[in-house]
Amino acid sequence: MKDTIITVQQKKRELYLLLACFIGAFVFNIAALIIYKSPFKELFTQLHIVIILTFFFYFVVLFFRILGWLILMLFRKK
Amino acid sequence: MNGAIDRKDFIKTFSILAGASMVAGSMPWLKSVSAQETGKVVRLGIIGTGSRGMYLHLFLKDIPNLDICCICDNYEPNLQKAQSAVGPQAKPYADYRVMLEKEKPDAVVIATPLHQHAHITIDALKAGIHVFCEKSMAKTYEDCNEMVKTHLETGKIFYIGHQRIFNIKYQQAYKMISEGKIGPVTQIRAFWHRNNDWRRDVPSPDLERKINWRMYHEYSCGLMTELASHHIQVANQIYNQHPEYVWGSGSINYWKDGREVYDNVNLVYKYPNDSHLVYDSLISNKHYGLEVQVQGPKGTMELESGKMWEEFPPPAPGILQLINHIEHKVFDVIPIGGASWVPETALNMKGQYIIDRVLEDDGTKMQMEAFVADVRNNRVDSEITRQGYYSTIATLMGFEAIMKNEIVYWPKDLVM
Repeated sequence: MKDTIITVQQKKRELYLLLACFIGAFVFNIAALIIYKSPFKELFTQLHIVIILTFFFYFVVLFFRILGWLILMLFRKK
Repeated sequence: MNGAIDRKDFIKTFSILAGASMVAGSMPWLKSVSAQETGKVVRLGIIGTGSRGMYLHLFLKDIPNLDICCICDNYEPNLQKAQSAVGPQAKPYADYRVMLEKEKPDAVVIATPLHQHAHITIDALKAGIHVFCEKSMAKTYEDCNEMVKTHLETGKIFYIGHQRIFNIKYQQAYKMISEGKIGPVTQIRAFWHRNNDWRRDVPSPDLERKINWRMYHEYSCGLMTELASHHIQVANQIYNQHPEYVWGSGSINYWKDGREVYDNVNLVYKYPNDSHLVYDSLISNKHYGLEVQVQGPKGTMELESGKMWEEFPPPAPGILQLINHIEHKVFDVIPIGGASWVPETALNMKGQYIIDRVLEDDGTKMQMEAFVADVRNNRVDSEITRQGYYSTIATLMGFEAIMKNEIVYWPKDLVM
């Protein structure tokens, strides 16, 4: 079994991705406030949902990244 | 949080309630609960030491500076049991007149069968003794009038046993209603359902009418005076007025065992504000138990279970609604099936509690403490008397209505 090395660059990439997902979820919340005319305070009171949504987006992206990597691996072997 | 509420908690809660001027104005007896203890010993007698009398004793015995000096019951087994419970310092009597004459207590608690309430109360008041009389006040309009007249003439304290007047949950509900939380009250529905024959064990057939007095019209008005009067008092307090008239019907349709009183009653009381109290009671089914449902355009309250529901609860947060919408868009196309995990609206079907604690005291403990406090401080409150008086009058109207199958109107010749 080999050691797994996660470089600083990789960590930064994942953190930026998580940040982008958080921004996306936050914008999603803003859109919901506008569409459903909800009170402004939900920007803060629903942060826990925004965080859950952040990780949801992250794992969806992760799913497609893994799928893309597997397809790439397949082509490289051929 | 458990509800082992003591007088300090009660006073604190009530002082908040007293801040709402409408509530304070309609419940002047709040002063009784906050009355200062002067340390003076109150001498008290209990007349009627059956189940209810001994239940009240459970609360009386814990009141400081209260001397239960005498007990009275014309049924020897009850008197003996009471003597064991109350202690040897309480002198036993079989005749209340002898007790009143010899002991001259400051106050008496009357927990006898209904038909005996009037003459015992009147005799006690005329002897200068304050009275707590169990509900209902009396069996006839004439007796009620005479009792109230005697109270006013003698200036002695006269409580009638409606413990919901001292129940914090009820008082909080009245405050919320007065603040418009459910809008104007457009209807009250109340019911009291049990499933038993309402009989007590009788050691000998000749004691049947004495022990099972609730079964017979000579002594009782049945479900009306024994159960309905509580909820009628609550309805009167919520509407802040007495009913104009009542109609109804009753029968014996299950317990056909020789009783005279009905085993089911159904009535509608009409109030001057064009709202109604719809009431029923039966003793052949206990599925729904007892409840007072107060209904308005903005919400509903159930006072026995202590809950409130809004008619139009606020919707779910926007983000949840949007997730729900997208989820439906996606999964309604793909036939996976199953309910959405996000509700479209935040329907609070569970309701919210009227107070944030479970109460152990249904108001009886506070009521007894308030009565003794009033006796100690010689504070007469005719509003408490009026609550019991009007409740009993309305109860007797209901009884008359179901017996005669007629609409019965509020009497014009009342004393107060």
